[in-house]
Amino acid sequence: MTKEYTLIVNAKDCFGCNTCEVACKQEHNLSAGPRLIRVYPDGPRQIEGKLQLRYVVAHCIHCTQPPCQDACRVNAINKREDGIVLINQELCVGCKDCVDACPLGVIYFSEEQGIAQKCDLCIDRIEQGLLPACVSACPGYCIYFGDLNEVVKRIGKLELLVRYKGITE
Amino acid sequence: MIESNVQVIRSNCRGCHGGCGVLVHVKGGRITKIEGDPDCPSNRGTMCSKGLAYLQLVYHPERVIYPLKRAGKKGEGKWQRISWDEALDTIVNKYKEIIPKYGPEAIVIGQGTSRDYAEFLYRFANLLGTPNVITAGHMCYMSRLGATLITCGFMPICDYNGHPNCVMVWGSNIVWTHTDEYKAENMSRVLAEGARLIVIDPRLTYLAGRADIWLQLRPGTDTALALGMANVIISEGLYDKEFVEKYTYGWDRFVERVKEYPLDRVERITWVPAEKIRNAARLYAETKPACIQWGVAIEQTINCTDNNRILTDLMAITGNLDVPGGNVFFPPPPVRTMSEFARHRELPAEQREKRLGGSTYKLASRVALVTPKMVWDAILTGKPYPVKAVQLHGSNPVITRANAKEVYKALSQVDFLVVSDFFLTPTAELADIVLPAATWLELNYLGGYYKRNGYIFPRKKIVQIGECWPDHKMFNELGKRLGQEPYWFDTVEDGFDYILEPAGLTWEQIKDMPYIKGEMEYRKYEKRGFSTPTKKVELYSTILEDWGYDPLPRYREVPESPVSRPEMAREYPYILITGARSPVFYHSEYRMIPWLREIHPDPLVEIHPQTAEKHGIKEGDWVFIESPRGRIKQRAKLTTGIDPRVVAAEHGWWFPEVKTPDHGWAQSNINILTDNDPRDYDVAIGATNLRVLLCKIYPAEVVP
Repeated sequence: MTKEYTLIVNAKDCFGCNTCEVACKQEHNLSAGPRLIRVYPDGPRQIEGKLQLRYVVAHCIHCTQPPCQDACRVNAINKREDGIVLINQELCVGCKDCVDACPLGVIYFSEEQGIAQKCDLCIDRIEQGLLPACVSACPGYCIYFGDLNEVVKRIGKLELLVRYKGITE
Repeated sequence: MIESNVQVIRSNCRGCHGGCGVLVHVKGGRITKIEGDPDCPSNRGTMCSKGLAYLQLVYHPERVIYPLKRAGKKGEGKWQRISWDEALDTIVNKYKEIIPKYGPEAIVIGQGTSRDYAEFLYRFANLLGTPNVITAGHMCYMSRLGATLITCGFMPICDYNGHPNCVMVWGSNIVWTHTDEYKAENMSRVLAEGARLIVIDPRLTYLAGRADIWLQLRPGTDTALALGMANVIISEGLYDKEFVEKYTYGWDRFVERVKEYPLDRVERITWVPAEKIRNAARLYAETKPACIQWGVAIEQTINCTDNNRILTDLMAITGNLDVPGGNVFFPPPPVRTMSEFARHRELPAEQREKRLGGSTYKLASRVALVTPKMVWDAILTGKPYPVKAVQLHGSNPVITRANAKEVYKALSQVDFLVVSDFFLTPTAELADIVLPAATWLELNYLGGYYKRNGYIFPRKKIVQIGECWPDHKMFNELGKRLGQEPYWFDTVEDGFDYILEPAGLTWEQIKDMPYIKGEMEYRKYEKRGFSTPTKKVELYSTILEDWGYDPLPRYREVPESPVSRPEMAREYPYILITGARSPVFYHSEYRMIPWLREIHPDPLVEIHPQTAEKHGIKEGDWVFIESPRGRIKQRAKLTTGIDPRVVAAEHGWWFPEVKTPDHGWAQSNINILTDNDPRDYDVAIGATNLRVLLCKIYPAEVVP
């Protein structure tokens, strides 16, 4: 069976420490600017009958049918057999169509390099059997990575998985 | 990704006091990556943003990497590179001039959070003969240590690995910042195990929102709240009768005191509904085991010592002291103690007598501390005697100590100021000599030596940057040049061997070990009692009694509050709390690190939307926050997670991107607003009231 890799945050357990952001920057040698994974405060608001302060983490979910791939005019974006959606930096012409097309707003335009950038799921790491950098560093143990079926087994059918990874409710 | 020709070296982070195990990747002599060490029991592979961002700090273009001497007027920002020999000789010659004229007490040695060199610093100060050491200890950690020392003999630490079924988080945002022994990872695990959670905090944090019970109290009233909880636990018979009978001292008098805090009174003081307090007290007392995770907030108030004491009392009377999953005493590895290394006994009695403020704050004196205000006064007035030189290591008091204007004035006026640090901070800019300090990636050390979690994690030198030195080496070499040769070492590693000697180990032997650890044994008191004069937990402190202080914990009203200063509250109607943590900064550090500053670009003041509306303040507006001491600007962050009568401002702000030597130190610096009037100190430890003030707020007309 082919893999469908995914990365998803269980927002209930995220306490907004921003560690994932810096782990990602370090792994990909990024300067200030693109934030391929980014933490936003969510609240304070009433959740389960009480005032809570939670966080949402924006990152590429590697959609089953990626709108960015459809939008790319030079076919620089491809979904691999293992589900990872990658931008080919050699082919990218910096037109920003993918930036506009991404429903999660997690493709960034690098002013420095003049190309689009997004999460590559730390492909070099996972090919060596390691976890993506953000997953390894997270002290909240709230970032899940793996094959879609296995991730669903571990944390259930989170809304984003239903919406972008074709999981039926 | 692990590339070929990359060397991976295990070490221990010191980006804060968290002490996380790290794996440092080095390629061609340069650090390429820092990541968590999955095998380290301190953090199990997880990290925080600060530790990871040291990659940017180590190679930061603005780092001080050579010794500098002042080349213009004080504070003018003109510097000249000098050799280490010249820097050390200049300092030594100055001290040799001062000592015969004014005595060694005219030289003050100081540190900030301590980048883990306190024992070297104290050894140097004691051998120099100065009793005057300023640290943050009067209101951070040492104050907790001192209060627990006199109450139960040692500092009790949450035993997360012992599976607490209830954690009471008191004034701590542990998931964003370390609490010395612990950090987020430990909390995540016990929450995943299903531990019940009680949070005491005036602000809604993630943990407060997740808690079974969140007590949103009036800032600064924690001691009254804890006394109220003790009242419930005693009156409902929820205490551990056997423990109380066998192992506590002064129970009856403690009960009498606690009776003075019935819940209706405590509700009036704290704003917390009596029923909530009752439920929290029951949950804590009836869920076994339970631990209290305390933070530093409670220490930075007038109630510092008693607040620490009453929380220790709660641990004791519920039978949660030194039991698995409670608050425990982790024995350190069998190495030489810090105080032995510090050679406190070498400080002659007549010099100890001269400790600034020493006779006033007896608990501070016991743990060899000076309240900084006493030093600023001595500089500015020459009383009780002149202070002629200040030598600061990793400390930025212009930003981090109360009454910043006074600090700035004193440090501008002192005859001779030496600062060792990574960057030219607003404090370093006032110096005569600046010494380039090595980061934790550039030195060897016994990581965690000072802590109470029982571990030492070897920290290893990975790279050399410029001519940076570990501060340990600065003390070692200055000491040798000041006639202290017999006490110092050929290398600082020889000093580590001296520390490790009783364990029969050397630095060479342990440097590649994951850690050394003390042997844990629970309920040690059953065999040995507690290390107090009565061998019991002193609910009634015989030591405080001897010193002439109240031997029982009590609540003192916050010195600046609508209750204590109703007149003042008319002009300054809001309670200002300070020092809420950011996950990406450590006090005044890291504003120059691009990865971190991007996440938190501006100082933020939390305001309830109703309050903001009253003053025409919108989200993101620059707001003036004003106290009788001055005013500063921070940006409004509107939140319903705070009481409309309270605003919460951040601490530690200066602006490295401002290239004039003041680096905007007075613009958003919370300590422009704080006071250091000794009348508002904790009576025993001299803790400064940093946390709870009165203020007014209004929109700032211009963007700074």
